[in-house]
Amino acid sequence: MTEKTLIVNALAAKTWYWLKMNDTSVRVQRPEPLAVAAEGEVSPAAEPLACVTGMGEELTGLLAESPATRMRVDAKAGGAQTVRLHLAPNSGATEAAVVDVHAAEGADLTLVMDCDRPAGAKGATVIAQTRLQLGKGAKVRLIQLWLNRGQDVVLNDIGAVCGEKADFALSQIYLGAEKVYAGAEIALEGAKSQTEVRQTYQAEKNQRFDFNDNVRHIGRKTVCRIDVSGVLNDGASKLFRGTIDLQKGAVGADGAEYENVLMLGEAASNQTIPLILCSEEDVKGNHGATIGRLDEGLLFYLTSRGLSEEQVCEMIASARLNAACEALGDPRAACQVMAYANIDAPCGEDRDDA
Amino acid sequence: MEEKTRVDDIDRSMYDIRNEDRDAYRLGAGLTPELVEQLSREKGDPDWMREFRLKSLEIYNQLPVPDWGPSIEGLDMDKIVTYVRPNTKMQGEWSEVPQDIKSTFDALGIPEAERKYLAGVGAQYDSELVYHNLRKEVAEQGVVYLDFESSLRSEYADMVREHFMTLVPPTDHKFAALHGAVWSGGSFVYVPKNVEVEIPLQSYFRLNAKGAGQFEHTLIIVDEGAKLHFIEGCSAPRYNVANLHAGCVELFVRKGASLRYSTIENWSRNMYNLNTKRATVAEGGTMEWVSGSFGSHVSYLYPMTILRGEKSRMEFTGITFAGHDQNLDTGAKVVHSAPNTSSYINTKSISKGGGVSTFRSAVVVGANAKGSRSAVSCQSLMLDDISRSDTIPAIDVRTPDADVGHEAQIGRISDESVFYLMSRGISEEEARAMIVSGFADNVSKELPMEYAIEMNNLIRMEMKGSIG
Repeated sequence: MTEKTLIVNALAAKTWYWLKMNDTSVRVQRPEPLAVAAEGEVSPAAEPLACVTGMGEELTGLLAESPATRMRVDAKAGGAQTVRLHLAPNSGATEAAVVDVHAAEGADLTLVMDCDRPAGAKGATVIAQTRLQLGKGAKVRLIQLWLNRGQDVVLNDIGAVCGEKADFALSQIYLGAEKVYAGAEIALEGAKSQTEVRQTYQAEKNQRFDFNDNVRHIGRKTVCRIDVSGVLNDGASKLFRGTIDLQKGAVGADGAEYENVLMLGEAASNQTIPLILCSEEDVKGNHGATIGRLDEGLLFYLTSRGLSEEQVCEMIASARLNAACEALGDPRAACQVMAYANIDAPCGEDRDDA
Repeated sequence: MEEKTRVDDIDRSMYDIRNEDRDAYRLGAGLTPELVEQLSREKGDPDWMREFRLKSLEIYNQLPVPDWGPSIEGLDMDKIVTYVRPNTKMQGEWSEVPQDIKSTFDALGIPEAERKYLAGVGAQYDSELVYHNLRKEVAEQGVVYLDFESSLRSEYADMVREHFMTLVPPTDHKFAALHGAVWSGGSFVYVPKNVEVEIPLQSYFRLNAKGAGQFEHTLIIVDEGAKLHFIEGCSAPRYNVANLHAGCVELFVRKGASLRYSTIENWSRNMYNLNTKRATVAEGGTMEWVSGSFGSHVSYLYPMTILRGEKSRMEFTGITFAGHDQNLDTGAKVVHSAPNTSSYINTKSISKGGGVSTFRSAVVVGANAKGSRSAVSCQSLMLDDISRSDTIPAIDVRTPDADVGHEAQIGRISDESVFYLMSRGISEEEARAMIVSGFADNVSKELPMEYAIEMNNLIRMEMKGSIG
């Protein structure tokens, strides 16, 4: 059992060290293979897909020299295809899986990955790296549900390269785990390629989430939108790094990132650093962030109708999660999240759109 | 035709006036304990200051060069002369200032500005002040405005020692330590309780000596209920070797007091501007920064405000214009350390001709800053495809009882706006200059009119030849 300290989630452009946002160091053991149950066609990976990922080279290096589970998903043109991967780590272990996705020209793939751990399970360290190559006009929706009860540590690393007119949608929901380190690097290389990143999290107790999203606009008329929304309860903390990198040649590119953080816990803390890097004239880049308490007007309105402040907070948090589930576009995944969160909402066969 | 006349009116040559080096004394280049001791002897420092300088030098030698901002590889400290004393003592009358130095300040419009709308002026030439004056009626209000060296020997010496480099300690970063070791010149201002200084004070810093550094220290204390507007201007002629500016500004805003600190910085394009400015604000106090950064080859400039008292507030309004051969890394920092504090940061940046402009900020809301609010807005304009513009805003919130908002946009001048103005008979160059001036309106409307005109002239000068 060798343990290594990795530097992960490095900010695309460094800033003051005293803010402690430039990167994160994490100690992990050399991982063993992670059990992955697949629904849909997968195959063992042969050649690793070369791709820059959000968490960085040190994690990729660790995975390269470890016996991680490696698999490949091939999506071809000719109709929508869905693959589901259920990650099942052993309690107390450090395990990893690397998934390479090749989406050919005109392919349409929905890949759902979940890590839904039973209550009371002893903590595990789960490492997942997903690398995607999208061909011309390919469409890939990657849905990830991190529903790790208890003391788990999650390292979730993504790298995607999008060809001309490719469309990559990434939806992530983080509800459990004691610590989450997640990075996504998306290269919009082809003209008119686009991506939408939607991250939703709810943290409580002393949960710590550490995110790093980086979208590189390389091709002309590329479009990205990053939406991050979360609730911090108790003494939970979160660091979000989000970068829109409008590179030279990305004429007509349009990048936007928005973050909304609802801080409910007295000891909660939030760090946000949304970057726009720009070396092209004819582009648009926007970011906005709203961080703080519940809107006073809304709180007054709801408490005046007989709800306690605690009930209002719960209701708002549930509503946010509900909205994120709706946006997944996959009823089965939505139901899984609602069940985990004990939210009483129409689900599965009860749903009109099921 | 009118456009051309306006541009000619602000010929850059007024900033490029270069006098012969006829200094009375200059230290050898580089940084050693012996040179620092020599500087201290030349300035007649009290013992504590000499020890402070030597300790700062030790810290300087231990701290790393920052690796997160623009490259300062072109700055060789072994070649920088840290102290150049001009060939005159400080005067209280412009007529007594040597002609070549006076001509420089005349060209920059300082004596005229003093006559028209300033309560007092300090003019520094290289490492020492050559002129310092305060209007009689302002002095009679009890306002103290001294050159820094005199303040150390004045009845305010204890007050100066109590505050000197406490807000910006030498351990803060490498160039704060450098400043602690070799500071020279600058001003001390004390505004007594409940005194409102109706018209601004101004310090102007001129660095004439080739290959030299300027390290002036500005310490301002605005006592309870008092009010002050302080203006800082700076420029230098262009040389083909690096010059360095590592000044330090420490501002103490007491309970219920108000301070506005305005800067129009127009250093020459061989200047490394590694300046540190910091303010602390007590209960109910207000700190306002107005900042225009136009010059220098490389800038690191992020005025910081610590909102230490309940209901204290800060506002930062800034503009940065990075042209050819400039890498300007500017922004602001604010720390909310008390309940019900508020901050507002509003910046604009423009990149042109291969210039690099970076907006960098930090908003930190501590656990005890309940009920606090902060808003940051930064807008960047790219004028061509060979320039660069980055925004790096950090937010750290440690209490749920706060509201923090942030917004940023990067874009270009819309073709529609240029077309609209051109269809009304305005040339394309003039149309683009007008749009950029309008973009900078947030800063110019916060400046006294004469300074707003100077700033708009600088923008027009930078925009000259921007077509094609």
